[in-house]
Amino acid sequence: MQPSIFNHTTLLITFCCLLVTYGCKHDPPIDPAPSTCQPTTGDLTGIAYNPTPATLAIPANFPAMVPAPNNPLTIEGIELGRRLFYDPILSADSTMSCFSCHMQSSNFTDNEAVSEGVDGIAGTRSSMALMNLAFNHNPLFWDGRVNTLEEQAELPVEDEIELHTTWGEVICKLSVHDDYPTYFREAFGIEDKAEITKELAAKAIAQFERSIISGNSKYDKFIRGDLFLNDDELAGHDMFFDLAPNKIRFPDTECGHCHGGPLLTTNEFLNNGTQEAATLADFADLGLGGVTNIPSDNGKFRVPTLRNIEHSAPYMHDGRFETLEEVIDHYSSGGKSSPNKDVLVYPVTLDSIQRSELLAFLKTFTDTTFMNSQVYSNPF
Amino acid sequence: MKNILILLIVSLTLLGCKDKPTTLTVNFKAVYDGAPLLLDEITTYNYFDGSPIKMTGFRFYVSDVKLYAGAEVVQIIDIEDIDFTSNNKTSTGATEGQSIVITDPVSGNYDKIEFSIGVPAADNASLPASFGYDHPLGPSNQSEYWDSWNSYIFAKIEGRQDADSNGEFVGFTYHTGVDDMFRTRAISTNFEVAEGKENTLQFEVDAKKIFANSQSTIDLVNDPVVHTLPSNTSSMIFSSTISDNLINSISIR
Repeated sequence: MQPSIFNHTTLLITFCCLLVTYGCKHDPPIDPAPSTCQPTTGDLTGIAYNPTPATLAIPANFPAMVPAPNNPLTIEGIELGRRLFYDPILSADSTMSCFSCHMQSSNFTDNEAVSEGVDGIAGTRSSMALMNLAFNHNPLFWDGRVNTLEEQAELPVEDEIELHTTWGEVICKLSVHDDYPTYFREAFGIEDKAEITKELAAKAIAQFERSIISGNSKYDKFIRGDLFLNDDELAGHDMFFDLAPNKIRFPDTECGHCHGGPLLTTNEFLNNGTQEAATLADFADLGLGGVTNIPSDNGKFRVPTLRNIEHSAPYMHDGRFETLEEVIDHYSSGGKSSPNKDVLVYPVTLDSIQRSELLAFLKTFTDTTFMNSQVYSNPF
Repeated sequence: MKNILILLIVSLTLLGCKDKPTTLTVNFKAVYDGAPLLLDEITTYNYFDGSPIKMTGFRFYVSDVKLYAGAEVVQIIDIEDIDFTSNNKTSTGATEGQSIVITDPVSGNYDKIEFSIGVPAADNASLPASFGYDHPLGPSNQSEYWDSWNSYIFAKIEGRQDADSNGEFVGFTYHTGVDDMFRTRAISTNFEVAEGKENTLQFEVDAKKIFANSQSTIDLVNDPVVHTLPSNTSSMIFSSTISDNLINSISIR
């Protein structure tokens, strides 16, 4: 009988292991482990507080920054924000931070269709490129759920799928850290370690994000009159912006309406035909409509910038397209049918030459200076 | 005692009169054939051939709004972006319309109101960066500047038509711009800005009238997308018609 008992035990253990494994893969995120951090206090007034106003180098063809009177840029604030942006101290298990999904070498995206957080659970949308946010006057995230960078910076820390910790835990870890209390003092003038707050941390991250500016692509230089585009790029430019009278040779691809101006985006919220929907209620991802609860907003997402677009793959809010060629195919096909698909997304016939010209123009948006800049790099 | 009371009442009355400000609310309401214009992707209206259409986007720049009293002129609006696209998603927003409140306008009796649609040439030669951040022509409205034209987009009219009434709506979009599309119109009407009162000047724009005039009706099927392309004569003629129709679609209520 012994072998029989052994077999039953083995089966039971195997069954339990399978259950645990299955549970790990599919259960909702569990609460973070209880904190072991003990909050601390400590006088910081012995450290000088003389913040230096920061003046950003704004490209000549750019608009003015969106005013942020409650969070003026300082050298100290930006530097603190940069450290927080890159420091895994922001996550539950100290393995991830903002940079995990927004890598400078990947145009501040992660080159994944959708991103995974600290628990290995994937989200439902692609990470957005972070640059020129100082000039964006519209709500943020793909669905416009917040209005300011400060609000945005607070969310990933406690998001169950992203960094999955609590601000209380993060603030505690920052307050007992050897250096952060000094950095917060220098940036914001706090007088005690206990005055570190999530609002100040978010302000610092927002300052760093505002400082990330890309404006030195070939296209920027062309706009500033510093160089010419080659023939292919110019042909793509004329189709992109509907500039040529000969519509057979240079069809209007309608791109420039949503990706015009120096930012290469209007930052509007539009339905670009990526989701099939018979009615306004049928979108798999409601996008903006999920935030506003206005049916005609369903299926609309923020128009992303095309800066460094060749380094931002995969594309669209859910990363469904691996290549820019697929993106061109999507738009030239007129996209998927839905009641509120933008009227400018309609079938446009493009031959292989026109496609390659359009692609050549899209690549003029690449700004390698920005992607290699030490100013935005990991300080650790 | 009685005299003191009368003096107090008179003083209070005078003080009250003095403190009541004069305001002028300039309100723009959009309608389609007289009915409130809803840009909600659901509400349909009848086109001239009876086919259903939905309007999805509608905005324009109004500029140089002036009140005339004989030869006397008072400018009340320099330039504003009248954008119905967000507010008119709901019937409440459509009923409210777009308002500009002018404080301390010059009171008096006026006999003519003049206004323009578009951006005056001097301003149209400037980039959004030249204006204050929240100015109607400034960076917050960058999406209304079209680099390719070196011009602001004076008006956007967008929607969908089910030409065959088979349930399939196909989009149309008309964007006007460049100096040639700037239009000015004067309407003779008696209008009073009363001192110490909240006055309202009510404009109504009937979107249906943008698509037709006494000579022609826009063919939404065969001309679904027209931007003002200066190098293309037919595009300029079409945009010119839209620009004429738009300013003529506006009335004062």
